[in-house]
Amino acid sequence: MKKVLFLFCAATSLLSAHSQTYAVQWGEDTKLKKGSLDFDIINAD
Amino acid sequence: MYVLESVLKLKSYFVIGASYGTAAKLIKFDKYYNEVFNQDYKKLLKGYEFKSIQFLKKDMFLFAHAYNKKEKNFTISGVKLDRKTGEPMGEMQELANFQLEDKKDDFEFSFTPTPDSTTWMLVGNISTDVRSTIVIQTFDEKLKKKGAASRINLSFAPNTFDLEDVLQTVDGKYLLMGQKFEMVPTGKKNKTTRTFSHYIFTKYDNKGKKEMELPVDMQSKYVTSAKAIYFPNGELLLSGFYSKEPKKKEVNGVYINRINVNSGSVISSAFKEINANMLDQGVDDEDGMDEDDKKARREREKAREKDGGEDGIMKDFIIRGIEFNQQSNTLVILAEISKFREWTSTTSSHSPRWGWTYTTTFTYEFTNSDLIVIKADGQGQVAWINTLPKNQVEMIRKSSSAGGGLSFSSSGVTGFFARGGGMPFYSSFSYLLSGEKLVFLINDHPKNIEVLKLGDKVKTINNFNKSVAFAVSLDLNTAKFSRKLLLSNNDEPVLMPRFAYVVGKEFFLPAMKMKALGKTQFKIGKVAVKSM
Repeated sequence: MKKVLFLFCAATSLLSAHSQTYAVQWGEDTKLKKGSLDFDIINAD
Repeated sequence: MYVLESVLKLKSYFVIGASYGTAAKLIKFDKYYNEVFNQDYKKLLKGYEFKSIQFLKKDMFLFAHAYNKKEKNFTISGVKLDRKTGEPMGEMQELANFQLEDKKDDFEFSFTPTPDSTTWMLVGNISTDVRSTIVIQTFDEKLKKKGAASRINLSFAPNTFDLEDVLQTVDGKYLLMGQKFEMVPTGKKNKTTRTFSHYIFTKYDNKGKKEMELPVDMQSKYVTSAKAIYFPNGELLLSGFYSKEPKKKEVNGVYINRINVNSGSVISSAFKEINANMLDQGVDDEDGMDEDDKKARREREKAREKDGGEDGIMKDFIIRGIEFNQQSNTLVILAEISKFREWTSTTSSHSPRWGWTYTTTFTYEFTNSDLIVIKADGQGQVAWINTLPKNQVEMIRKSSSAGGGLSFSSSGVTGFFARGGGMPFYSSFSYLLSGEKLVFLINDHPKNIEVLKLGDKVKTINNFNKSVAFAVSLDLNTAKFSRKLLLSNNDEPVLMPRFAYVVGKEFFLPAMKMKALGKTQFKIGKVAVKSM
């Protein structure tokens, strides 16, 4: 859990531009099968 | 409030579907974007071809189809999936069955929720040599049929009509929208070319009987593109680009029509001329270009002259979105110049042991340039037009000897029956509304950080491994763009803006890096927009 939280914080960066700020967060790398190129984000719940 | 296709609340996870040829996988990630489960449907899909995994409200379903060649029979099936595990909750259930008359007949279909997320709508298209029949069947939340299917017999040859959208009206009828083509003689013996003629908007009753052709007020202009929004009050807002000439070699302006679908009357129509000075059309900066880049640029310019003429505006505008704010009665249209080319090449090599071997390479080239934003009021009067110059050229190659599961057909780039996923991976953009600002995510050349208006020199980005991601903000009151560097894609999985799933003021999106050897590197994350 500590590792996850550390990665979560480390991957978060705050950037500001004029009146907007942007926060970027990434999960850990996953491997997809070679040649699997047809994918889509289906839902966020 | 801005009208969006769907609004969802984010709690903890989201889901990615990936298909491998005819099989499919579902990967669920937690709120830290780390993998929760990775479900493979190989066993479930035995004898089927995967179609999609989709949600209706909170329930998740998998759809697939099967074709019995001997019986010329096409079946569509579905099963509910467990949200916690991704496991199928029972056997595949047959939802619809289509009997084709001849083995040469074509069948394609879409199975999607209606915009209000209350009903599933199956739209099937059976094409023979001489006619097309559109079959529409709705299903409830438990995949039970709602009434009988509507069969609409189109009165023109299948190769002269491309279906773009099917909408269910408030009174339970259907609106079909599509492009009509004509086969025009090329001048060469017995040869014809398929040429876009006009848009068709037709209303049918629930038995498939034609009720009326919806009127479109074009005032002697010719539609080159159209996008429609259907409002719950029975009004259709139609917008796109037009040309003054019947040959439609170039775009001359933008039109907005508001149509009462119930009475079949035009409520209002407005036109705004645009000219080449309002667009950059992807004219790129030669400074620092190597010889290959310069050669590629010259080829693009040749193609551009052929398509649009020196003084004209290219016709390859694709409308990416229309946002209508009912409270402020304002309309924003987002479009992009988008072109697609494909070609194949074959190389041979010889070895004493294996003899001659041949490799065919398929190359797909996507060019996504200028982003154009048009703001208008509810009556269609244009307040302003602004352009963000950009030039993204993405080339994707697939070798016949390389294997893999690349699935793509050129006819599916914008077609009704092929949506989501696919190519291109890194070019184009995604956007969301944040108050009175539109925020775009794009991958671009790092030197384009100062490119904010027409006339600014723009560098073409064609190596996305060396690109950066920008957040570009457009103030809808002042029409001014501003840009902020978000991240570098160098040595990292490259951001895939076009795949973004937008919830409120957050983009959820993947990043991917394909490797010549080994598995594809992939991650997902979030870009949140906050107002200061």
